[in-house]
Amino acid sequence: MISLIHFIIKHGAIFTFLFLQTICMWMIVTFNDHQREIFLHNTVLITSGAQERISNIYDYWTLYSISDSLASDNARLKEQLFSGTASPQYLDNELDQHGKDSIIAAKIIYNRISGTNNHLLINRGKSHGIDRGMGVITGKKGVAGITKACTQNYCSVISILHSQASISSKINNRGYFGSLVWRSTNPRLLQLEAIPVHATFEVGDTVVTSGFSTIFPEGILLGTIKSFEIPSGSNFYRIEVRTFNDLSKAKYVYVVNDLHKTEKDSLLLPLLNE
Amino acid sequence: MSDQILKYGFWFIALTLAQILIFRGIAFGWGDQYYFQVLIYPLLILIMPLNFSRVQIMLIAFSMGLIIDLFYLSPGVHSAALVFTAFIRKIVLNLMEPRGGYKVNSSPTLYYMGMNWFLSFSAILIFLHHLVYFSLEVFSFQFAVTIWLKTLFSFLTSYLFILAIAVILNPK
Repeated sequence: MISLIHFIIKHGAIFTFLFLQTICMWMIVTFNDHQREIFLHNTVLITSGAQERISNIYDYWTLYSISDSLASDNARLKEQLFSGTASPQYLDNELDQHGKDSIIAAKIIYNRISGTNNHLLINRGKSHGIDRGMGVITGKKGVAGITKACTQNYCSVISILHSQASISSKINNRGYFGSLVWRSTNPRLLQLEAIPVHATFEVGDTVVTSGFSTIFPEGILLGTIKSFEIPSGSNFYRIEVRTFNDLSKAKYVYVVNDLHKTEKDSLLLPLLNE
Repeated sequence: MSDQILKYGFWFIALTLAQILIFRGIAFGWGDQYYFQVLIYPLLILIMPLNFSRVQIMLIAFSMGLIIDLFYLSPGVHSAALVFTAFIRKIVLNLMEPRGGYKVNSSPTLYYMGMNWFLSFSAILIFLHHLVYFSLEVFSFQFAVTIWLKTLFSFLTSYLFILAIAVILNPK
């Protein structure tokens, strides 16, 4: 112990140097947007292999609940099939309405919900047909985020719990649409913005995706309205939405690839740039 | 010692103010990159007297870097580069030690060491400072060309300004 202290005093300059540089590096990747982006991107590239191995170990403990949720998904689909609502014609109609989406299942191998800008990592990438800007959902209920950067076998995903994420959504059966963002620190509480004050709705109404973007198909259940108010002097409601699913527990997700995306964007983007 | 603190305190404030108020505005480039930038504040670290310890100089460098970072809106970038310069200064001094060693109570300045010595001493440190600074600013070796271009161009402009200050004001 004494020799250790001697060692530190003797090489004080090097330790001071390392200490100060650590503070500087922390500041650089915390407070500078440009550097943080690069840092996060590189971390994803370097750690994705290790994250997957760790995640594989933890999987054994969650197998029961995963098979349970898959079984309930199956049950819901069978119910539609037997009750006749999901006849082949019905499915064809669905596809025509929604554009032909291809769905790719993926596993979350890294998930962080503690910061203000959160990311996920999934184990599917370009070789599975995923590229940046695609929607990631956790099933019929809940949105996980939007893919950001993809390598051959992995994709980083901007979580819905990211200060820059915003999802075009509407209040079900009432038609008013706005954008869903995350401004709180509670991962189950999102905010619905840009709903005008003349809209009528109630606490408990369901919020679903609007389908106006090419990222998410229409009608994915997001959450229920928990409370709302009109801030003084504002023309828009401030609405708190409680999500159906807990993103911190999600294990498997589905990436939505809108096959007509480029076609739609070719019409939409010139309008946005006008 | 106390008049030393006063003297280098003055240099600290003067160089920081000059960097923030005057030289921050001098930037020239093309595309969306500024290739010519002027960083004169490393002059303080160059001319610190030899009787200051390495740890003291690094702490001074850190605080100066933080203040400049506040105005450049780049927390940590200038500080990291300047702390590195303060750390590497001792190694450069050892390598460039004249025959018979340094005089007691002197500083590595134009006044004590002469033109030739100071030209190469400041060139090495200022170049390394710029290299570290732009590496951290760009932050990706994918853009190594950008880093080198910025380092070379900005080194030339900064070097000219620093030499001009050192010749005109001639700090002891």
